[in-house]
Amino acid sequence: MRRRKGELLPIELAILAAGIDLAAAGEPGFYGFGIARKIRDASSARQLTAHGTLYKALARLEQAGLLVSSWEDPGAAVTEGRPRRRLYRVTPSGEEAVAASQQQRAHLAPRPGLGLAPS
Amino acid sequence: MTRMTEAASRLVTGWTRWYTAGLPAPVRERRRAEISADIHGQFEDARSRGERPAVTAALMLSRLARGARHDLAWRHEIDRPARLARWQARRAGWTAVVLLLTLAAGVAWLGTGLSLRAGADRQPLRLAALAARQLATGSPPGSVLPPSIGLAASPGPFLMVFDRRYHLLASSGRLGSRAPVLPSGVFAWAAQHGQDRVTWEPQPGLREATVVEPYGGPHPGFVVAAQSLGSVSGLQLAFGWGIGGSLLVLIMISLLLARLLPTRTRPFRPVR
Repeated sequence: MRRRKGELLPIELAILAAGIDLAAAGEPGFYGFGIARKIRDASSARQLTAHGTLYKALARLEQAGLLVSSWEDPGAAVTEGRPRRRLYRVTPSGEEAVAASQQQRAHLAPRPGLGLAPS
Repeated sequence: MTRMTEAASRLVTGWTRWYTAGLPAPVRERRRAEISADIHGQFEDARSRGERPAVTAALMLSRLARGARHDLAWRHEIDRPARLARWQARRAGWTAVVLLLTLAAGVAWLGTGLSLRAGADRQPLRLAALAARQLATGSPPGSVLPPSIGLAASPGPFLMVFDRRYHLLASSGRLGSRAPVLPSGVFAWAAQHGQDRVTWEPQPGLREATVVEPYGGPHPGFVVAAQSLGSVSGLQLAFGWGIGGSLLVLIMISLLLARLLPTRTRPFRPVR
């Protein structure tokens, strides 16, 4: 998908919005599958976001400074008997980008009385 | 974990191992670890939701298939600096390989060309030696000649007999209606060294492997035996094209290997 500079792709917006929701719910950071599950549940979809799509988008958002990431404490993974997770957090820039994107979408949304009417 | 989910997990980890192979270790290990944690998370989620293992396996493979092109695109972006670094590190080695290949091709081309050319002298050498022996015993020049040929039409051997002052006495080779004219310098060389072997071009495009040999006896002189180099030139040309084409293909293969071969990586341990 070709996009304009500064514009967020739907998957990127979904990741950031889900990350903000999780932070608001008290989760300090989210890992790949956690965000895929959140997006699935939020959209009532059956399918989880594909691995390649998800991690490529996460890498792009981190590179753009909209997310930061770090490894979780190894002790937590050992205690729970699972692989260590890379935890992501939405940065203030990420929150601003989501707000700006939502504002832009609201501005572009069709309003009553505007637009073309059949002649 | 059932056999189906195990197989799905193996496929995802295998795919991840493949597309991350050769990347810088921190990038490679991070992506592999993230996928490991993701697989584990999906299994835990499926278990908590009471999802059937076949469905979990299918959903996992669907995630793999739908994201594969993004995996490859990510790999391509990430690997760009590494590819450049690998190429810079291998460029000197590749240049040496190309030089060696070119040298080997040159030696093969030259060696085969010389060998083919030397082989073309065999028949004229035999003819010249036989004729010189017969002439030395007093046989008349016309009697030692093979059947007459036109040089432009026939690639077969021909013979010419000259007296000691380089005057033509007899010839089985014709160029048009006349005998071809041999440069007189070859007689002096043959008289001095016992024999001369040259490539003679009696007319443009008509090359002959030629042997000049002096003979003794009651009426000494020189015998000249020659045969067309047409077939040898054709072989040399075909061999040259073959070697040139092979060299080009080998250079292209070595370039692809130098640019694309990943460096060795540590094995990826999938989630159990």
